[in-house]
Amino acid sequence: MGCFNIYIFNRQGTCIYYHEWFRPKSVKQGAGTLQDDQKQMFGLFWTLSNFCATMDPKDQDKPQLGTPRKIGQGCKFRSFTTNSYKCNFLEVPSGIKLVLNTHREAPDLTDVLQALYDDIFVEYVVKNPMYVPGQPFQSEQFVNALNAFLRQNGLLQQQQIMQAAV
Amino acid sequence: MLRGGPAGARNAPSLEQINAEVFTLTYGSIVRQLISDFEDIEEVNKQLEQMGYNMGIRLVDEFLAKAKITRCSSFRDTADVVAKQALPMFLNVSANVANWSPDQTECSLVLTDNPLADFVELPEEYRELKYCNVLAGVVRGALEMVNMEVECRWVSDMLKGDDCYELRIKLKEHRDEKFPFKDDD
Repeated sequence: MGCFNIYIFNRQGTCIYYHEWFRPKSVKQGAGTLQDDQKQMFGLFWTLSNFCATMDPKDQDKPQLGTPRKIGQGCKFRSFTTNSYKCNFLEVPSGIKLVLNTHREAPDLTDVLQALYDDIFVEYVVKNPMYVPGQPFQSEQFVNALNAFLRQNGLLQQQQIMQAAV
Repeated sequence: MLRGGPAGARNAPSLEQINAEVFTLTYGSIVRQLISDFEDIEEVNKQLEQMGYNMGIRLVDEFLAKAKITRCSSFRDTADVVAKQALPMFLNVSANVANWSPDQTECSLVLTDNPLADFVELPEEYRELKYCNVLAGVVRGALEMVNMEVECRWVSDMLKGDDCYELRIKLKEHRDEKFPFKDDD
């Protein structure tokens, strides 16, 4: 139960932050290396967003599949659920993308991801003078705030944090 | 400020505030230091713009987090948001958008009061100095992060005797989202 991992990408596709709490199937069995795994995740998000915008049944002037989009055009992709996990997305107009994999029964986490961006990413990363936009960052304050926030929202059990710390 | 509880009404974000005079005097001393370091006014203008750009690329995230705007569908909307929400939020001044060009790609932000330039008098030998150039850089940097490439320049400056501060913003390109990786495997 709880969160499995989190990716934060910037517009250029660089994964500027990755953290996993619980990932029993190792990366080697999946994508091969962590970098490939992150690239694939980014590509997946990209394709799904484009696909959703194109297949939107309510939109008057939706783009054709394959045409380049402008930011914010078309509907926004939120999450997908499989039989073992749920993958939640959020994309911000400045290009920062958050991907959070949680347990299957998690509710709609759009607000949670938005709050994560507003209160934690902006506070501890953007305002950090050592942060270079476009480069992966390390910040203990950010990690602590992230864990506390997810725990508050009931997405992270105490033993998971201890497992990850080991 | 962390939320306490599941999705529901969120607290209004607390914006830290700084004393206006401290801000003005700090900026003034930065400009003074740049002038004595570089001695060439054009170079100082460029440095101010670059500093503003570096600030703008980070500031936009904070603005998006605090302002919760829905997307802007056009450059016109964007200019309005910058003038009516972003500038009041960060500088506590409001601006008007005016002088739209016929094809809607150029406009002016008109400010009647500018906290950066309070108490400032520009001597004759610094006539070429664009004192508030950092603001032009901030706007350029911030809009670049939302895929709008713009060019900002000051057309009137109260320090030089005009009656308002006018920043001309020209939209060069509204870029589409581009997939950053090459299509291999």
